[in-house]
Amino acid sequence: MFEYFDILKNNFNGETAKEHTRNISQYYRSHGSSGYHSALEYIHNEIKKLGLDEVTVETFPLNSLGADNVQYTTDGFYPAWEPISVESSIVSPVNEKIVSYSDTPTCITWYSKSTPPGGITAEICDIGSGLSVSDYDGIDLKGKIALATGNSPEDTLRTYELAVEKFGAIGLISDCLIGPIPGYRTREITPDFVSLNRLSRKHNDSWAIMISGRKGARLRDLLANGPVKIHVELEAKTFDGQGETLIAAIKGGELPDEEAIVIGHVTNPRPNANCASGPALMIELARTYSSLISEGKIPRPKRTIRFLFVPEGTGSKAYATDHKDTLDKIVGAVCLCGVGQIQDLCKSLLTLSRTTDSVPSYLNDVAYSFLENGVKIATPPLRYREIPYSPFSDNSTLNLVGVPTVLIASEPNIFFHTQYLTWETTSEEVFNVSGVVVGGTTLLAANADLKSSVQIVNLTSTRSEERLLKKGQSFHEHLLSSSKKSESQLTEFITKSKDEIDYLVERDSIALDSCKTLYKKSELEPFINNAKQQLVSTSRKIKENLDNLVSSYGVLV
Amino acid sequence: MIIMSDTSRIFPKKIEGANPPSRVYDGARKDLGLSYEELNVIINLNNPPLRFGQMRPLVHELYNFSDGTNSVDDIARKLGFEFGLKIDSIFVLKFIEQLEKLRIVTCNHNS
Repeated sequence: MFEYFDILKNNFNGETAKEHTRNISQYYRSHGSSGYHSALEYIHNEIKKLGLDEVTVETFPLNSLGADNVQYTTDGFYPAWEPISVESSIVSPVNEKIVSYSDTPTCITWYSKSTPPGGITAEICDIGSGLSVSDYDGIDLKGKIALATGNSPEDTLRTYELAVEKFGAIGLISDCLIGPIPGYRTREITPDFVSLNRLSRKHNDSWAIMISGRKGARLRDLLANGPVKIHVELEAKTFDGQGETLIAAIKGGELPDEEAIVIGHVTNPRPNANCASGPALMIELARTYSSLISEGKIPRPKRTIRFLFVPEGTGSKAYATDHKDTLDKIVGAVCLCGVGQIQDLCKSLLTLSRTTDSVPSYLNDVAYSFLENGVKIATPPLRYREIPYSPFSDNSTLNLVGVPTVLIASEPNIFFHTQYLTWETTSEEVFNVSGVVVGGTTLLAANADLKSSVQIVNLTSTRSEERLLKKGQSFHEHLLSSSKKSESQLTEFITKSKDEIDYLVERDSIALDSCKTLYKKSELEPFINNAKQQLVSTSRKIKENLDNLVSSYGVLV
Repeated sequence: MIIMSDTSRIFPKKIEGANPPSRVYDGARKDLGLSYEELNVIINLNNPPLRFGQMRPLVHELYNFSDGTNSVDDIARKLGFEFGLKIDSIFVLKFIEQLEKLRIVTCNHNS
């Protein structure tokens, strides 16, 4: 099963992936912007060099038609948007620069509208977090700029909703630092971080800029002694534009209509190297596959391997809509975001986010196996983990339409969506590990025959048994180490524990069945059925153990 | 109006051709038709209350599990196991009601 491991390890070049990250991250890549198109053109040119079987660009509208343009989402896609400039400074009681787009591209909040030509000068008013209507009691924001804080993208959306749309502020300035990490990423520990935020994608008439915690504190200090005026000049374009998805494919030799997908997004501000690292890895992986096939080191895959370079969200939704008739031919997809981040520097772990439990799949355990073996390539081995489904990239679109999709990402990341998330935060060694994990998982799915499908059944079964046994162990530990439960509490705990065991068996049995998408003939079925029976048998033993524990509970606790 | 005791007999099902929910909250012009205040009411109906940022994967999954065979109670149970949270049926029901209103799911009331 891991025959691809060494060959990928020896041929995937993390240094090249890092170089692609540097080149992609130089562009400001908002949806439909000139920077996005330039970044995609760079990728397109690199892909064209590889001699793949198919290289196409699909487009879709990013326009203001809204509800009249509903083929892709319930309320239509939003228009294209592109930042041009931001300059902001304190003009009274002192003259000081606050932030500018040229040196801090993350300061402009996505979908902001321009200020009037020449900018705007107004008093600022501190609204704190500004999340509740009561935060505005006794405050008159009309004609003023609201100064806010926050910890999440939702905080900024809410603060803008109240401060600007409800209470009439001219605009919003905020030191909202999304995704704080206690001990590593807070306004106090990383006071110069300016984190990307966004406004409502379709409807807003004003603007917001983000500032650092240091500048936020400075403004509040000045406000403590009297009125503070600032000047903000912001220019951004909202326009009818085009989304573009680059599709590159290596055609399958035996089952060309069936596909394994690798998907990564090109969008995001400059530099945002975590997002750039996904397409960067994909270019290098496509090169690796292509050269290995042409040199005869690996055979042409049985199934088609398709690379999707998309604008995040819109691109995958457009693809899922425009190709809905072929989605059931996809045997699995790997979605990438942040696959090259230096772990010690970024305080990150290589993280596998599972497919949704509503789409149970063999893919989780295959990807995990490549991950737990792949991290050992690095010295010292990289840190890694598996987490439940997290819907923070195009894995959400694909899982929502029933395509089993795992997400590989570096999480957390102290530089996440700040101006410091540059290509220098990536390393060739981490790319090499990710290349083996993504490349191995995809190649295995694309090539699965009876023998490897049996191996995948066995792997899924083994890991599922481990999960059951660990769960049973945790129930035991809980019962014996927590304070004594009443009879009704005990009954409730046991009922819920057994229910959870049944749930895991049900979910993982469907995951075992998903192996039939890899090999459809009947020879595989006995292996799947045996594995499912084994799970039921193990679950029965765990439940019997729980019953035994309950019968002795009074003596033990 | 659905009453709580019915949640074991309500079987939501995706409507074919309808687009799935994306974001849960998108400022005043909300994606799911629910305001910030309404969303906060729903997360506080759960016991213990959920965090605002936890809603998105839960809403995606409650939609995914809406296949006509899972009741609202089943979905709540499955979400709880998947995400390691205690999810009450009322939390699921409130979103299902909204998805039904938006014609994204339809509910079969099996008595």
